Amino acid sequence: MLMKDTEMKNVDGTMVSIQSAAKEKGTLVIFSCNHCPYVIAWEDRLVAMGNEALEKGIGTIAINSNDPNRQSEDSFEAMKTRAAAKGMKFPYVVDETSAVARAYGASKTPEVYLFDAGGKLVYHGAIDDNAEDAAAVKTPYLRQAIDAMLAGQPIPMAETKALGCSIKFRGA
Amino acid sequence: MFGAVDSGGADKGAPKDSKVMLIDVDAPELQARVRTSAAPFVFVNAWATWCQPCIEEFPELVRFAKAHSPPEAELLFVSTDFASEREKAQAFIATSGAPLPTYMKRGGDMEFIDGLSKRWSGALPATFLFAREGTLLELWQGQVTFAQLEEALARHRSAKPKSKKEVP
Repeated sequence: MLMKDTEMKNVDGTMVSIQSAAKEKGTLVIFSCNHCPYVIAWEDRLVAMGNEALEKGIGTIAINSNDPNRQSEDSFEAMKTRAAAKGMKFPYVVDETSAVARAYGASKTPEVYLFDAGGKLVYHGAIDDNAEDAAAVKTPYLRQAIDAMLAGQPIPMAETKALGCSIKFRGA
Repeated sequence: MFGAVDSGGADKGAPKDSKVMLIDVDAPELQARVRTSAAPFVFVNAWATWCQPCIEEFPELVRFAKAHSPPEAELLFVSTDFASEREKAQAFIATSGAPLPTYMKRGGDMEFIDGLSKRWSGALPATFLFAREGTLLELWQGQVTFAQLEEALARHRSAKPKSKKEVP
């Protein structure tokens, strides 16, 4: 559905689309970036969850839609370094015109979309309810959604919100 | 209650010296603060020290706040920094020229975001224009300029009496 076939450059140099990243159990689309302190606060949890989702058969893809001319830390080179440093096992790609973020209606980083095996959106929102302190999380929104989806159960909270950095959209 | 805070920090949570720059609020308290404003139009800017576009736009907002103080309009700054970054936020406010007091988010993100407006995604910066009655008139997600705020204020100021007359 939403720009699924748009090919984007991955940190390993290959071209990847959301469709090609999808797996049999579903797809996790993460709008992310390098510079945002909210991404950084969540990053270890987010990468761990992305890697875990991948192992469970959920295709995972992280997308950087920020204009690096407005935020130099979000350059492709910096993305490569970050993906390696954090041990991302999933693609981390560049949304070169920010068109994918626009198509999704994504407005900030981090912001995640979880699709089931049939491509239906089952969860949209935040990672959990406490960016600042992993130990103080009361509701792990995304984990809860993934577990429910894999178990064929209804998603307890299908839409959540958290603060984040507004996406620095590239000019149309 | 908030009037008392303005005139000397009688609020329970806030120390009573003039250096108080950040008063903790949740969304209902902030909405209450809007409804008790001395001005009919209340802008609310949600910012954070870590948010670069917030810092970039801050001087524009301070200029606007100084140009349109109550009873004409009012602009309230609300830091959404982590509680552990409170001192950093306070230090920033101290040199920003922002009209005091300013405010700081208390509690969870989602309650705060939805409590201000369901239309807000949580992206920072965000600037709201509320009518004192509590109606959301404008929401900007992303950086704003002095000129944008000026335009919105002028438009809503001229629209207000007209819309009243139009109500049968």
